[in-house]
Amino acid sequence: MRVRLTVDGEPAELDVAPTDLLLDSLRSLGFSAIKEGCGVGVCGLCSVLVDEQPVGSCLRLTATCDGTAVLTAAGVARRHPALVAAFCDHEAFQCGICTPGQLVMASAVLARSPRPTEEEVRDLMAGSLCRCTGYRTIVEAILAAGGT
Amino acid sequence: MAPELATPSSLAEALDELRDEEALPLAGGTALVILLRNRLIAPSRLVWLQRLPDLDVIRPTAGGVSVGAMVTVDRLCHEPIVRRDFPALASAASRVGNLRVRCAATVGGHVAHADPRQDLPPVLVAMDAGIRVQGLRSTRVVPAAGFFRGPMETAVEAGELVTSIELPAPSPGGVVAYHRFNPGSEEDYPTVSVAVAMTRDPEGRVTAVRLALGGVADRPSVVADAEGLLVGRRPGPDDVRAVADAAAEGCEPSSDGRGSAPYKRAMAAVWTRRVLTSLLAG
Repeated sequence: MRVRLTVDGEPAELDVAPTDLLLDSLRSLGFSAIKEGCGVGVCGLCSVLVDEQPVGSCLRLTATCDGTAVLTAAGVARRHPALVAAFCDHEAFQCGICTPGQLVMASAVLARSPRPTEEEVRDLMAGSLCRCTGYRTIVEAILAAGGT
Repeated sequence: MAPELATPSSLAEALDELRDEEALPLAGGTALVILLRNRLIAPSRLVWLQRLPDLDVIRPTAGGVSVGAMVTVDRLCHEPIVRRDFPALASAASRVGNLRVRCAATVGGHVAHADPRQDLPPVLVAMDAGIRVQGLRSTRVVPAAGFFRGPMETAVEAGELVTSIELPAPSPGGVVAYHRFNPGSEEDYPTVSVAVAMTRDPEGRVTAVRLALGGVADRPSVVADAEGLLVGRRPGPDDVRAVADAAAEGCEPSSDGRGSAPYKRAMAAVWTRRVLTSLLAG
């Protein structure tokens, strides 16, 4: 079936099977910052925004995204340069594999709570795993980007 | 064979698609897609419910509040009327999965999935909520205690769909508490969870109580003895201990990564005691 959507503001058109995953579709379009980690919605490596809602693209069927606006980490970075700068200033990454997903989820957290408390950040970022154990700097970066 | 995707735009159309016993409704997909990806299910067709009108409505009813099946778990956490009248349910909803899961997962999908480790089923059982099940010709409201039949088994039959959750208005003097014990990761399923709905008269005597445990049987398990042990009394520590013992005896846990069966049984008693003690102190 034919699916039309926008990815980071650019229109895209795909032919998909009903069970194709948004994760695979986005990667086939060249958005390779989106990674498959756990494949069960827990780790957050494949996080994107679909119509502004945070979504695990490993659990979303592309066929159900027709007409939506998808934002990947690249789109989030263009929209929130201050968030990217805060991640850099706080060195909120080590190996970097989780960073695209962390940025997407951080933007989702700031969208619902523009000046979050540390507790809120830790609670809402719970599904974004960093196996380098760099959470402290990630939390600090998000708090800084939120101006608190 | 890959399933087809049907996108009905009316409830009648969706119910017609679901008459096929091999068809499955698709809502947020956070549970279904995992099963699909791991080839644990092989539906002939997925009936996507997102285009159905009116299933994402939360509205007051004569007896309480009706929550449409397509309301997301995230919205359940934040809806003012739910937070005001059913704070334990809103709080349990805020512990489901993670933010991405809560934004996609729906209340109807959550109950229809019927994983015995989920957060909302024990709370719905304790508060005696009803699950509205719609068929082509009739609709029925199944009490939550009778809705869950086993792991991923519910009272829903082919050609039927969960359309709403009916929450009974809180009774005067009534409180509901929910506690999940997850010694591992915060966003993991709980090892055991305890939900209690209790009503007391102004003298502190228990007039009604319903206690349900999650994670320690193939469905939310009701501790039937709680009623006999507590109603009519101003319960003291011995009464609470007796209920905790009954909770441990009545459950049928299985060993897995969240604890051995004996450990879960022991924790069922510990957390039943703690939750009841703190409710009675409040």
